[in-house]
Amino acid sequence: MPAGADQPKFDYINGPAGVLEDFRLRKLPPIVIYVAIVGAVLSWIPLALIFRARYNTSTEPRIHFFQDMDNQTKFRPQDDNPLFADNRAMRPAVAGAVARGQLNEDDHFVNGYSLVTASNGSQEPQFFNRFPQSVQAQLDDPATAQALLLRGQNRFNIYCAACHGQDGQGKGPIHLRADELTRNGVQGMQWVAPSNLVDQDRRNRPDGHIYNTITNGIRNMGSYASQIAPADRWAIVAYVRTLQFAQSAKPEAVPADKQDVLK
Amino acid sequence: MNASKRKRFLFPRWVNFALPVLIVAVLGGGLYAPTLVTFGFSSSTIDVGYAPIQPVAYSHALHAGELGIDCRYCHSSVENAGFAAIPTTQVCMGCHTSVRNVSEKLKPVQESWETGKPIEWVKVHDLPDYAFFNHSAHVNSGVGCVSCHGRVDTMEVVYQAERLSMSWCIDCHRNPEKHLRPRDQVTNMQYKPEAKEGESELAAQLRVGKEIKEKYKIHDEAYMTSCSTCHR
Ligand code: HEC
Ligand code: HEC
Ligand code: HEC
Ligand code: HEC
Ligand code: HEC
Ligand code: HEC
Repeated sequence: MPAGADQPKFDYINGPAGVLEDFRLRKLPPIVIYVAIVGAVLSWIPLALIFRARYNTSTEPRIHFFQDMDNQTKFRPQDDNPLFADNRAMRPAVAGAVARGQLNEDDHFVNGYSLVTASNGSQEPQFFNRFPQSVQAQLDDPATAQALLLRGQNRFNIYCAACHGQDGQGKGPIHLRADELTRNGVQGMQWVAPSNLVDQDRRNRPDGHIYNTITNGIRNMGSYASQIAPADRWAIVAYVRTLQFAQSAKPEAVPADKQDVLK
Repeated sequence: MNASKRKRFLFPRWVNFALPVLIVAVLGGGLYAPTLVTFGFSSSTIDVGYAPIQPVAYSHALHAGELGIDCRYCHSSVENAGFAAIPTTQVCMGCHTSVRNVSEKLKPVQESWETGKPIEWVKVHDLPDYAFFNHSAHVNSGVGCVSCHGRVDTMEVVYQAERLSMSWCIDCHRNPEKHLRPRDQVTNMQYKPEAKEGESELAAQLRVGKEIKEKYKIHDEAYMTSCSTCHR
């Protein structure tokens, strides 16, 4: 019997029958120990999963516990819509449709050529060899001319330099890679070297012809009309002309106050 | 002593040992549960790193990294529109009519080109529809792609690199200086402001960021953090 257990207040325990001490289970029952160990081990699993999720990428969709209005019944650009056979929510324009503000009122600005009837009766494009009035006006004013040419340079370096090179000579990174693949005999290479934009042939092309090359592509070069707006196409044409001029310019053409750049 | 008289109120002795175990369990659990909730429910765990399987094994590491094609060559609407357009098949075919045009990997692109059916890319970054986001507002204010999309030019497969949670948006809207750069550098994935002598990288960024914030007339904090800027 434990010490002090004989005091009167413990009579209810001691009672007439006395206490039988249970000596069999002094230690934790094994089941409690097992549960504790298993629990302690299992508790690491969520931690490990979290760790994995934080330091890895996953192809499983994100988990959003509260969906709320995350996905509303509306279409955002380039969403899919199973109502249509091609699953496109954004419908391609019906042939002949003209968006507001995009009516072709000026052949020169929008196409770079006008159609003339040739002697045999067919319609032939005749390319303009000057800039449209609105663009020419910008080029005539030194303040806006610089902005236009810088815009042209920026767009050229984004869309054209990959193939034609930043200097326009046709040695861009895509050409170098494609040329290498062709020489290594890789299957499926029909690479044609991009033209040198500063050679004599390209110098002789009318402005409208270069513009039309961007709009509709030429021979092995694709169209860039979907990526570049008409005003930017003209800015690129102006920049191509600048490259052509710069790469044949004599040192004397550099203004006196900029001469030291050449040294 | 017979069994019927032993119905006494008495804990078994092992309970003495259970008490410390219980204390450890309660303290441990008290730490464990909040840890689990904080990290488990955080957007860094459940949102970041999502990289769905795409219909074409297209690699940004090759095209944007190695070949150095500018982001805007393909995502051409990013400067003019809220939405950064995923390129059409025609954009791919500008090169792939003559580059590797019999490749297995490009089969779906060829098919799409012939049938006119678009390639169904899986959207990686996806804000809830009630949040308003606009690319042109950011790109034209000198926030680079890399601030929100990570080093896309090193990714074989695009994954979500940032949390895109509301707190993440607001962190930058409070202190945009840390992320601003000149407009012509927004697609440069490795842009670092030029540090003056003895200036740390962070100090240089903050200096340049402040100048640009002035120059581009970025709105003040009150406007940038007002609910109606992003929930309209
Ligand atoms: C995918 C590579 C590629 C890109 C990008 C590209 N081109 Fe070309 N370009 C070519 C190739 C290839 C040719 C030669 C086509 C041929 O001779 O079959 C060419 C030819 C040309 C020509 C010469 C056409 C002629 O009159 O003979 C011009 C001008 C031209 N490109 C301008 C541009 C401009 C401007 C851009 C940017 C908007 C551009 N290119 C982007 C590949 C490209
Ligand atoms: C040659 C074309 C091309 C170029 C260049 C390119 N991308 Fe992409 N990009 C794609 C295509 C196609 C997809 C859709 C497939 C995918 O997610 O991998 C895409 C997807 C993305 C996505 C994920 C969109 C989503 O679904 O949430 C991001 C972000 C992205 N690009 C950023 C960039 C950045 C930044 C650059 C410049 C470093 C860049 N891209 C250059 C073609 C391109
Ligand atoms: C400016 C040119 C250009 C554009 C635009 C372009 N690619 Fe490529 N792509 C290349 C070149 C060059 C290679 C070959 C690189 C190599 O194998 O070394 C390539 C390789 C590939 C490959 C690997 C092919 C193989 O067999 O290894 C895939 C897949 C691919 N591109 C998909 C696309 C998709 C999809 C798009 C449109 C979103 C696209 N490309 C747009 C230039 C381009
Ligand atoms: C301020 C942060 C931020 C910047 C800067 C940013 N993006 Fe995004 N981008 C996002 C968010 C957020 C989404 C998801 C938009 C949604 O789901 O509505 C997204 C989505 C995209 C998508 C998928 C199409 C879409 O619009 O939903 C592409 C592609 C993309 N970005 C490319 C780019 C490129 C390229 C740049 C750099 C020129 C860029 N982003 C700069 C935050 C940014
Ligand atoms: C890396 C910094 C950065 C991050 C991240 C960022 N923003 Fe911005 N945000 C800006 C800057 C800078 C502006 C330009 C404000 C200006 O022009 O006054 C801006 C402007 C905006 C605007 C247009 C405000 C207006 O009316 O002109 C909206 C809408 C917006 N952000 C939403 C978001 C959302 C939604 C997110 C999160 C998905 C986000 N932003 C994340 C920096 C950021
Ligand atoms: C910089 C942009 C921005 C501003 C400012 C902003 N929010 Fe948000 N908010 C977001 C984005 C992005 C999400 C979606 C986050 C996500 O994907 O979990 C969001 C989500 C929410 C949600 C939904 C949370 C959920 O999970 O259901 C609530 C509510 C909300 N915002 C309220 C507000 C209130 C109130 C304010 C003004 C004090 C505010 N927001 C200002 C960008 C913004």
